[in-house]
Amino acid sequence: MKRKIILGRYMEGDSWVHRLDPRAKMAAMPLFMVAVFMVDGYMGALALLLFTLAVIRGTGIPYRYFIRAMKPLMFLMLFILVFHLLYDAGGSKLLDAGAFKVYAGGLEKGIVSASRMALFIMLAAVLTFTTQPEQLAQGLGSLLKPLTCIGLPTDRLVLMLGIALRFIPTIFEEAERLWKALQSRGLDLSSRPLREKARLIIALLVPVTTGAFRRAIGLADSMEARGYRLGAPRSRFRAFVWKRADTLFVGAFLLPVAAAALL
Amino acid sequence: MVISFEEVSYRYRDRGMTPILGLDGLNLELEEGRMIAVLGAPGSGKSTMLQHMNGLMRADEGLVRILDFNLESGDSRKIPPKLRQRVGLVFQYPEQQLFEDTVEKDLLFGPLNFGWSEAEAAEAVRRAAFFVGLDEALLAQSPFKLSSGQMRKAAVAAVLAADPDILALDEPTASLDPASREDLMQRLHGLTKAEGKTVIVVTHRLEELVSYADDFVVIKGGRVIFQGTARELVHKQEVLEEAGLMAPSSVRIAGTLAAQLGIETPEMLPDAAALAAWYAGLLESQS
Repeated sequence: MKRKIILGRYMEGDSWVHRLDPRAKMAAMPLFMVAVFMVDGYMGALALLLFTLAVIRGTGIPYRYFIRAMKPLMFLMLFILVFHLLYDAGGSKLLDAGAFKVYAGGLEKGIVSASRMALFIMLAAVLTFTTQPEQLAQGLGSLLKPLTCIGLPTDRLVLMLGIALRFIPTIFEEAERLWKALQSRGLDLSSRPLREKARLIIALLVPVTTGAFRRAIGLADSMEARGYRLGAPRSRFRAFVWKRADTLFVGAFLLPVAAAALL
Repeated sequence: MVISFEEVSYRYRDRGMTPILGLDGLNLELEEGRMIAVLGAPGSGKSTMLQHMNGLMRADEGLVRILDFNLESGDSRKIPPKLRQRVGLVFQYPEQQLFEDTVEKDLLFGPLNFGWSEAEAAEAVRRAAFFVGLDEALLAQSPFKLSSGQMRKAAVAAVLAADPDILALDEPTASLDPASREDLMQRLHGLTKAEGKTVIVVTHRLEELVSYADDFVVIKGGRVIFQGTARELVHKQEVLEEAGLMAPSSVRIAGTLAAQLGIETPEMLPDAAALAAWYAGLLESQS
């Protein structure tokens, strides 16, 4: 089951994208989002796609991983496309089959909207594939730092996020092991009635949840035993260094925004 | 031959970009009715091999033969339930195997899955619980209220209840105290002698199996680097080192003593009793 979920996973590597400051990558995301939403035609979408492909190339991670990252949302993208095809009547008529009419405008809007989503997933995948979860959390912490002055407990949020990110794969693994243990004791869901299926799946959640709680309590104790206090000043093992490449990277994301604004 | 692996390879593809090698052309043949110890450092492929035994994992290359089932690589047909019943797998973490609201229901889970009648299943559960030494009063309790030792016993009983011909256990003694450890090993050994079952125990504690297992298999990097008896294994320092294992203390003591007395290290059963007998003999011949 965990095999299928790839978005959000870190892929080891040593490309220049991996080495970028996580803050730079995170700052690039909203810029990219702006560009994605400003685009409203084939040409713009194509340009953004080329731009994204260039960044993906820079990560050194094969394209197929990015395609796999999109898979869980493929249905949604298809739905968006079909929705626009059916209900958007702009431009010239392309096809007329009784009640079903396709207009050029609808087709363009559908394709652009679906590709907006695809583009955004691809870039989100760039961020998570090339940044270790703890760096992601730490980077987010330093980006949110200014918000502490309006009373937002950013270090608490970052700690929570960091621990959650760290334990999600572990909990998946645990669930997988449990599943395997039950399979080897002859569990065969396909032969069971629906009600029994539902009961079994809920029963499966029990050991996984108790395991997660046990782990959380143990972790809290062990952190406290090693002198961790919320809000206490801490030094960083890996301090971020903002380099020229980071400025260039963020700068590069201004290009599509500027282009979209001008055209 | 009850289990045979022929050039079996398996790669983990779901852990990052480069596939991780689990098994690398592994060859292994195991005889029926014996107790077999599988040793190796963490990550050597022990658990991966175990999961090939009832089709939880399917080989990328090679052929796995278990009882009268052939599991060929590339064959994606469904695993027959009969194989799962005849090969019982006890996993490493007992708390990740039990899930029902009472221990009894958990023990019943396997037998009922394999289509036994309720009376048969209940009888099998009672026998399995008795066999592992699980107090019958605990059967009505929630598995999550058990101590880690009791949980371990329940996990073993849950698999044993389905009456498998082959029982494979992954680190079964990890959360047990020394007395229960000894006890469990004895009971498992009894299974091979009294009922002719094949018992496979994966461990990294050579010492606890030395006096029970008939066969020792050492795995490293997804390959078998040694197969033989305890007597042979404990004197193969290079194999032990390669697998990150330690010779039993009796063998080490005998070695040190022999070196100090300037005599040859004796070939003997690697346990404390044999060491004592050898040493007593030495003392006697000296006086």
